[in-house]
Amino acid sequence: MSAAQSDGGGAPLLRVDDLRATYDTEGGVVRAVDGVSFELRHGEVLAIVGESGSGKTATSLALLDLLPKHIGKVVGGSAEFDGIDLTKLSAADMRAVRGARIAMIFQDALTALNPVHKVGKQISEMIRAHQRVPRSQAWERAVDLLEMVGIPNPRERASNYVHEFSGGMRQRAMIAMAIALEPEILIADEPTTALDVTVQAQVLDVLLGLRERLGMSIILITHDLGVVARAADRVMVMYGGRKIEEQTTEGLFANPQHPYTKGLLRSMPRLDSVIGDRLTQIPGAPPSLVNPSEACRFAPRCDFARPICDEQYPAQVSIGSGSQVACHAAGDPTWETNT
Amino acid sequence: MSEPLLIVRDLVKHFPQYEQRILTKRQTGSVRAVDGVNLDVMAGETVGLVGESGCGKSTTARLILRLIEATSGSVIFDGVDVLNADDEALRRLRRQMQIVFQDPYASLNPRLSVREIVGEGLRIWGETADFDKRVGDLLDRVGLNRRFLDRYPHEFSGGQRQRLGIARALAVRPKLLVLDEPVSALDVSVQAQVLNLLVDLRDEFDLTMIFIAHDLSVVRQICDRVAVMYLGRIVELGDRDGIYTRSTHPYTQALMSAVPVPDPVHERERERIPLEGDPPSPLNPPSGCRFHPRCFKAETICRTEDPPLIERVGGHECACHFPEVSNVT
Repeated sequence: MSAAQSDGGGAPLLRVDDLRATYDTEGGVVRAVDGVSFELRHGEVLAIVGESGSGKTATSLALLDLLPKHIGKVVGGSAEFDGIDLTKLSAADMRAVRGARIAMIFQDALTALNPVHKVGKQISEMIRAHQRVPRSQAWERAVDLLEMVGIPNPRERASNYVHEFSGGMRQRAMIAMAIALEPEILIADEPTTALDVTVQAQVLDVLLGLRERLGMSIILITHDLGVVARAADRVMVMYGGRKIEEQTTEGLFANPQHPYTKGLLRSMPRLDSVIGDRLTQIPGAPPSLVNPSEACRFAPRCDFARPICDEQYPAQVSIGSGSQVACHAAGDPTWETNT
Repeated sequence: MSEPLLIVRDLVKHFPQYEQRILTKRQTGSVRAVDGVNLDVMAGETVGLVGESGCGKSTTARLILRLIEATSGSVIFDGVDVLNADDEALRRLRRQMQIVFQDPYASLNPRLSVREIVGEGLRIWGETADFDKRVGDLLDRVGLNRRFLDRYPHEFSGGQRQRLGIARALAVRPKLLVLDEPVSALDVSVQAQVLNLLVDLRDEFDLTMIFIAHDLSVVRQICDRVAVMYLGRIVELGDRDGIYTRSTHPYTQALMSAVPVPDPVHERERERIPLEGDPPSPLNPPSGCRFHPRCFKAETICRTEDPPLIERVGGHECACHFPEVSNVT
């Protein structure tokens, strides 16, 4: 299913508007998510890409009220999902949504799964926490789920503990748990980052296969632009807690707009070619998000910055067919941003 | 042709496994982490060691530097027998062979200042004349401010720490630099900075490099030759373009076909060679060709006969009974 087919012109499944979240740290208040807006459509894979500290994980944690207790909190904006604002839900109401209707999987399956319970038991407990089904029936469902994610001998494997699984199987088990209640949205946070490439390919195939089979929408958080190219329908690029660009996957790779996106694509070594002697590099390092300025966050590292970039944050400009970019140079034909 | 700077022959490392009972401990087997590696490295070239977790690439590097003792085999560096060198000879060798580690957080002592970390090698060799200037020059050279001499590792970002690790390795002017996943902990934009720095330093210091990485795209960018490892062995070895555009071993082909390319149009047309399951345990490697249980072309001979690493087709060495040239990138 491609984005075009799945869109269907209907209302988006999830509409995030001006979401803001902060972390309290010793150094001050970190504005980890600083006014992020996006939509997720039925059946699509939306990738959120960015480097460490860009706010991609914080965005998804904020949606599910999973920010670290006492440190992280949502301080503004809304996230409308099927007529309800996720940011306004009580803890009890959120528990009914989280896991059942919006599920999340993490990079590190070993710490996300419980080492002292059998894998099948963890999955069936998850089912029984949301649905009134007998234990034996939930166990059978767990075995079916393990089979669905491609674990060989699922009946025997359901009785294993996590440490008896390889890295790829753990990730599959976590996916099985996440899809147990057939959620409408699956948030996958760096699901393949810790895996070897051959296993990474298997796990991505499982995720995309489940999307077709269950009609889920997926938010795929990753720093790997190769994974984005393989799996995503649309991409949103984050930098310094903000969304700086959003396009279809084809559009982003063929015609990136923001100088940061352009730099990122050019700084990647390629399997399919050699880029001269030197890679294009983006000078400097990502900004601190403690009391960030109101200027463009990328301006200090941008080769094309002009005085206005140090003065005010650029507005989100629509560049046709649902694409957006936040750059002062966008739409100004006299402002060249290509090297 | 001149003599290689480094000659590795039949290098083997088995880690014994024990079963611990209350009073007794008995050996139950051994992990054959490196199981017969042969490799020549010419002066000035950069050789990439690639493969998935557990293939033995890091262990091979540590054996070459004699950071761990080999079970058997030989390593000759610049005419010196590394594995049989006495303490004094080893001390001199270590000056010639340096390593940069993957984890920029764990590999720098948090209690030492930059001056002490980067200058440690100089101090050991008694080269303390103009000490601060020499350490400062090294910092300059790796793109760090020379005023950082009195700072401590926690004040630096991951990319800056990796630069410190590189400066520390270069302080004693080594001939061979081993880089064990030097950029895999770094973000893409910082990774490009460090890779460019390594290319510059390679030219400036006439370095020979062994570059270990699981990221095949990074290796293609920086290496002259590439060795693909699987379960403790090199299965394919050749110059970069040969390995990437004319690979012949089915494992190399499957591995490369699994790497997603950051180009959606090309990526969605590429044919993938799926590999079933995970690599087998090096505790009990399969008979014959070690790759045969996961290989899509395996035949009877593959189960019984271990194919040697020799030149077959495509102009480079390959350990497969049925090699075929293919471009899967």
